[in-house]
Amino acid sequence: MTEFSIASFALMFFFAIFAGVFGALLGLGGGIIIIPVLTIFFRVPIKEAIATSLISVIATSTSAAVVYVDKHFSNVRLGMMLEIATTIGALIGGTLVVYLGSNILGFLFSGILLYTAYNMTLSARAERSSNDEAYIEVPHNADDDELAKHAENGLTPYTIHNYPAGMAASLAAGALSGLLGVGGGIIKVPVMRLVMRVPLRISIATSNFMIGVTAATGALLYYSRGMVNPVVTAPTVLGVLLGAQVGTRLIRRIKGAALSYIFVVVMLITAVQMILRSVHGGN
Amino acid sequence: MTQEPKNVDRPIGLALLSGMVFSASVIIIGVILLVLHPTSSASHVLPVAVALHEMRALNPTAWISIGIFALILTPVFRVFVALLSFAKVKDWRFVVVSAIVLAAMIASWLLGKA
Repeated sequence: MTEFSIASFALMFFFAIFAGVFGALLGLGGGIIIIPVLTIFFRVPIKEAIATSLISVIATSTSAAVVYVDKHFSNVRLGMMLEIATTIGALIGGTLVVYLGSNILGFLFSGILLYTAYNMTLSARAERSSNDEAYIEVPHNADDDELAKHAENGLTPYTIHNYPAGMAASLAAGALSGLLGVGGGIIKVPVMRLVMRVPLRISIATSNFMIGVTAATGALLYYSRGMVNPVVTAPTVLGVLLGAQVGTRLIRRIKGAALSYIFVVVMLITAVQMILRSVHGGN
Repeated sequence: MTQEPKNVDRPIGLALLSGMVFSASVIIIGVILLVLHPTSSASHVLPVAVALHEMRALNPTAWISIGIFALILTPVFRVFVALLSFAKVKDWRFVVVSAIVLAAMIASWLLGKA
């Protein structure tokens, strides 16, 4: 799959648009679509597919965050605070990977995913059904006047809870993703939504903002080792950039509860993938 | 709450937008060159120094390589711009936060390289 052909280029471009829409909509990198499609349908070697996937995470993150930051959906300060935890966590995980068997960790991670999926399902019912256009973060001690003023401006106020617990969960999430090579979004979104009680769309947009940072170092390593295939990566990246733009426009048309359920389904698929991988004992 | 002066969304958004537009444009030029010379495709990206040199010869792989490399650097650039923006609004706590994130990125890059 190293030869260039316009047909395969166009096919990769179109499936990547889909991956970009999906990634921007859920705050994920889209690796669970890109890696299987590239390896199974296009017969791209797994290492090259992982490299392309990592670069696509950056593409999703950048393209989606351009829109989400501009619309104040991404909470930049929250994102950067949690980035400390996830980057240091990934650093720890990357170091420990030599000493720990990934099979047991895979099962453990699947267990956490299933438990979290259950909690996401419970919270989905409480998800606001209206498609709020804009949110604003307010401090815990915000008074009624301030809240009323925001309501007048059509902004839904929210408060961030449990910063220490959110940081700790993000550190663990970063370490697990370093150990298992899974994307961060699948953990970052529930941590913000369930632990820190941030609205779902803000969690998704902030996760989108963060995942590029997590992927960048890995992508840089693959690049410097010459493991990036330009003929595969170019169409994928271009498709993802375009698709993520579409996804950011679509997110406001989907109800919060529906978005939660889609996210839960993706968590379940990821959990099953991890269990299968652990059973087969492979990395 | 004086939210507005502390708002750093605009410079950070612009950093991301410029990274996206630049890398996408360079990759698209590379793809156009590749369509014009389909036989010149390579299966590996070129090292940055080589690619920069080869761009003048309109080597498609060189253009695509530089576009991909620019995209990979965009998150690093974004954290750097965030650091400067927080400094400009004198939010020193988040200047430190940005510096730690940047340091952790560099540390994992060095650790991975070793």
